[in-house]
Amino acid sequence: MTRTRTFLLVLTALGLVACGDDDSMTTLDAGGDLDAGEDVDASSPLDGGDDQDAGDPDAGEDAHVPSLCPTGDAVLEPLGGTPGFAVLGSDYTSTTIAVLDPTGGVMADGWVDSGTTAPGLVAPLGGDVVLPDQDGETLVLLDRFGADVATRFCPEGGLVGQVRFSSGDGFGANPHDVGQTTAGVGLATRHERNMDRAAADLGNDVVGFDPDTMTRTDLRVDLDALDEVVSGLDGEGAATDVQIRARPSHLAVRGDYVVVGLSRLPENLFGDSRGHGDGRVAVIGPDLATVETVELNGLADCGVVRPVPGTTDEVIVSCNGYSDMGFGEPTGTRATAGMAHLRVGATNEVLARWNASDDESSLLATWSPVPMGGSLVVAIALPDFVTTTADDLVLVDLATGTQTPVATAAGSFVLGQGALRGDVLLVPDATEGDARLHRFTWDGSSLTAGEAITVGPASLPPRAVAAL
Amino acid sequence: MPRLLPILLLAWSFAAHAQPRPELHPEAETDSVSDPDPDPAPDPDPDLDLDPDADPDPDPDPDPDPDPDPDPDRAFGAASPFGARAHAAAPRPRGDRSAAATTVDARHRPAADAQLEELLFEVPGAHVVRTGGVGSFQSLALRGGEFGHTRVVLDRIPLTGPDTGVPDLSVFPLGALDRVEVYRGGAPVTLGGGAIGGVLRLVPRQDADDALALSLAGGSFGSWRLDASASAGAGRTRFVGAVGLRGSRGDYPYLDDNATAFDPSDDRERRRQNADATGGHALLHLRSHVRGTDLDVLVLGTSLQAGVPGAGATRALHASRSDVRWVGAIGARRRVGRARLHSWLATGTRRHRFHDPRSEVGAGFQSTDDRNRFLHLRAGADVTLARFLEATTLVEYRRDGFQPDNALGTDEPDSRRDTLAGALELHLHGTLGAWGFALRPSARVEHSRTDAGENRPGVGQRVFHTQVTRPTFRVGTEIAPHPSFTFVASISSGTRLPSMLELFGDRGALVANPELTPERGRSIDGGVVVRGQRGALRGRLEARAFHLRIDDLIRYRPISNFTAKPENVAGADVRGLETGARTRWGPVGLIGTCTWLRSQTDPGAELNLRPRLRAQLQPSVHLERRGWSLVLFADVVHRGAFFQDPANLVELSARTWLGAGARVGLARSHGTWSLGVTARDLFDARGQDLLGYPLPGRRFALDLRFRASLDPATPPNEPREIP
Repeated sequence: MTRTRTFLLVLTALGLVACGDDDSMTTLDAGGDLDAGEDVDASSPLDGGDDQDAGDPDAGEDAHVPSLCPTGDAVLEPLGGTPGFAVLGSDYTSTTIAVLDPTGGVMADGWVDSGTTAPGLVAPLGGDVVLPDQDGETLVLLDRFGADVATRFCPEGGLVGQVRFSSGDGFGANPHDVGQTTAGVGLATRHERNMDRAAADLGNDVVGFDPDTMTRTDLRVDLDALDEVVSGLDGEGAATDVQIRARPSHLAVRGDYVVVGLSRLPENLFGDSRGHGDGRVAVIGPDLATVETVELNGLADCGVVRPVPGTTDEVIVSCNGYSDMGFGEPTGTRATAGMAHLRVGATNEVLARWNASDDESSLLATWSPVPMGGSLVVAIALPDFVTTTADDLVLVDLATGTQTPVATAAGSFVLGQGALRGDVLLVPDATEGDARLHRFTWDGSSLTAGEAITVGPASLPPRAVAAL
Repeated sequence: MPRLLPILLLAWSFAAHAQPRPELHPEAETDSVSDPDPDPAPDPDPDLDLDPDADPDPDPDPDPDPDPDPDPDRAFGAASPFGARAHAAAPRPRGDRSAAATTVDARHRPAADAQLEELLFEVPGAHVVRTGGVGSFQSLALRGGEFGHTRVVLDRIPLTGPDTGVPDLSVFPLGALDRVEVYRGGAPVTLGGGAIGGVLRLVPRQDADDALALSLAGGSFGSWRLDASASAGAGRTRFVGAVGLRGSRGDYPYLDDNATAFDPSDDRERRRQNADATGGHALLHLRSHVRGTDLDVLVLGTSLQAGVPGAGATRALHASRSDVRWVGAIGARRRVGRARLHSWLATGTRRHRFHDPRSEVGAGFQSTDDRNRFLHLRAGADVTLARFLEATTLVEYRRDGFQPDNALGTDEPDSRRDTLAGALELHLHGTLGAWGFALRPSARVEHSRTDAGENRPGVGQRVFHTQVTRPTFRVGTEIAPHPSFTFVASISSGTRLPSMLELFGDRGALVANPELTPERGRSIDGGVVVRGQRGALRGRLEARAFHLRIDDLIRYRPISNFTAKPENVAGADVRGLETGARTRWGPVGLIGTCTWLRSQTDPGAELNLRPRLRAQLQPSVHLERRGWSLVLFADVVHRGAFFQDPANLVELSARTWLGAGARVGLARSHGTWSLGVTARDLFDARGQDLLGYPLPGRRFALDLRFRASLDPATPPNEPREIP
């Protein structure tokens, strides 16, 4: 039974836990100021990160251009034309990546997948692959749970390289996101913390790599200072102390600063004891050493940060909420769910904040956020199976709390991370038998539905989209 | 069932006009030494005639368990230079020849490192997977079914159930077994029919002669084994006791690709870590005849402590597991008029612990201590209704209790399952002219009630109940136009009940779904069995085609970032051909199997983890001169390519493993000595049965065996058998 349970837990973790943190694993903002911002070196050569902005098609002009894509044998078929979107399809065991042009036309239906090369000890792509924010020049894939590997391809089909964020010896780092600065500094968040504190790979941090050679560097930003022990509940509902870890998840490069969403969840995610830390966002200074925090008190699981299009210093933070009473318990989840619009830099400022608890009738639209500009965000509301039974796509104005329904899916847990490029918004829908990409046109204030796009095999429905 | 009525009626009509014939194969009652049929279909208790005064009439079916495909040494009896005479002299009851069954001897293996896996390679339609070397997880799938669709029974005691998960065969040592029987597709009701894939029956040791045996083995990667056994008899009582220890470091080399399949530059050779294993077993098997009743007492304990090395690229250095089991049973059989009554009472415990304090395996922090207990009562009767008709009836009750505990994670609730089953099997047989025929229809109805309760913060006390009633059936038939040529066919149904974990979840990531329905399977097969002898050549060939339809497969569907829910989602068809051959020409023996299958899920993909082709060839030469004996053998195992993933993108390539070995035996006045050496995977092909879990490559083993007869009637220097 234990074996079965273990197997299933691995399966579940593969399929869900790790993957979902795209938007989800949370953070509470408790407030501690980790490091004084006075130490920030404003002259550090970090790129502003417009290139990280999936919503700004021109943002890539500041992107760091990889030295040279290999001119030797390509591992993939060359892409003809200008790629606009990457679409990830998955059944949480295998993965396929399709490439679309900027208008949504299919350029390569299955450009790279889990069977592209013969497997070794792992398949070329596992079941927990995510699409980080792209650099505009290459396609970067992050294979998380069980692999801890980032892979970078050139449009011509060449392989820039692969880099692994753990040694593989007793520690799975579970990297959640990678990005890079214009200075060519690659960064990866590592969601797990190594129990062996004498090991070389400690985790619960942000580590560096060279994106041109796809090799690790010595850079490490330790986030253990954002751990804490909180009061939570044990399996019987009694109060107990729970060890919370920072659990860095998404990152966004904004100017010279790197914004890191922190889940701040229990060290033992599957333990009987549950608790959460107050929502926090870590802002790493230009020296890639100092860390400031933005407090989002009252919110939890604030692991997702996404750059706001058209800006160089703003991000949207999504907090999915967390209940100490149990997975999916609605009251505690709503009480700690919300989103925030931040300006980061030498000083950090909360420009707008929406709390789901402000309006008990509001949809819990915090999942897979796509910043649309200013304080507008398109996000997914998962069903509560009381008032709703299917996923809703909602346009939320964080400044006013206004929610505008955009679309309702045919089922639950089928909508995935969308992406905005120019005025085209694509949102994946993995509904069985009707998997597709919803296409919308954005006019700056509202969305107009267009013709849906069918891409990838039915067995690997689309789960996420990234702008290239 | 209504669709079967015409078949039953037709068969009954045949029987009504047929000449009664108590045995389809008359030669089956002859001594195997002169029997041209090397398929004696041995009774599960072939070695023991505890009651010589009992009914001299050939029992029409002293034990309805079929055994139509014995291993060659057993089959050839005294014709084998290693012939176990006790086997050759055994009574030859009828077996269910319509069943696709194979028996493989566990006690006379020439290999120095024999494991259960090796035996199962000799079974057509069987697919064995393992995750590493000695002590690593091993399981068996039959005819393209799931690994959880194989029912494992110890003698007649079910060791697997809905809540035991996929059976791990690594915990069962060969030293405690006499033989294994594998039934593909439907199995006789006496073995608890209704398994979708089939039944693996582990038959405990039941030595027929008085002897003392010792065995010591060692091999590559720190593997070792020590076995001792003694068997004796007094009057109408016999007993066998066996104990054994085994272990391995398991530190074999493998190629680590560092999880970067696109980049070979970082590949390096490593040695498996944390793969050590230590196990032991103790067996006591006592059989006696008291006042007209055959009594059977069985106690078996097994233990296995092993490291859990994790996947090859994501290694676990501190995870471990422990599995300790005890099974005890007492059975009685007694003839009353034209009926033979039999009953069993069995009980057992299993304690399984898994320790992963650093979450290295990837399932979160774990320190589980799960306990299963069961009580099994069975009563039945074999009744001769007419010379052409026998019936077997059976009533079973089983209670399973499950107490999970996880000091570091979410616990599943304690739960209990009560199962009541009843079964009836008829055996209609006779002749139509020169053609013999037999028909075995059977039906089984099983009712299961499962209860679980839990306290959950914010929810309070919750109690779950589910009840399932599942009927299954099987119809087997055989038509023999010639004693050496038999057409066989069968159709059967099976189910797998949802596990308690699937029904009730674990209060954590796995969500309950009490609405789950059992997985269902329907199996049909047909083929031909040829057996015979010409001069020094004797053999048995079989070929069958089969079709397995599986519905309502239970799969976990992610429903959020943290949770998954089991649902009845999938169905699949598996079609295949399986062939087996066991031949001997004087001292030269040959065993071969070949299975080809093609599976298709309802969406149109292949079922993952099903090799399309699996074949094994095992030639051997047996020589014996003046107290010396020599066995030379080789084996070639081919496992075809298969998809690892349901989407059919990740294909593991085909592999072929070549092995060879020799055994030398020497009989002396004080006993028989033998020395064996075995080499496996001579070309170091390695490979994986499951993606991420490298298998050991080239390896060697050496063993020394000693066997002393305790029977003064046995000539001291007669090589009864190599121990």
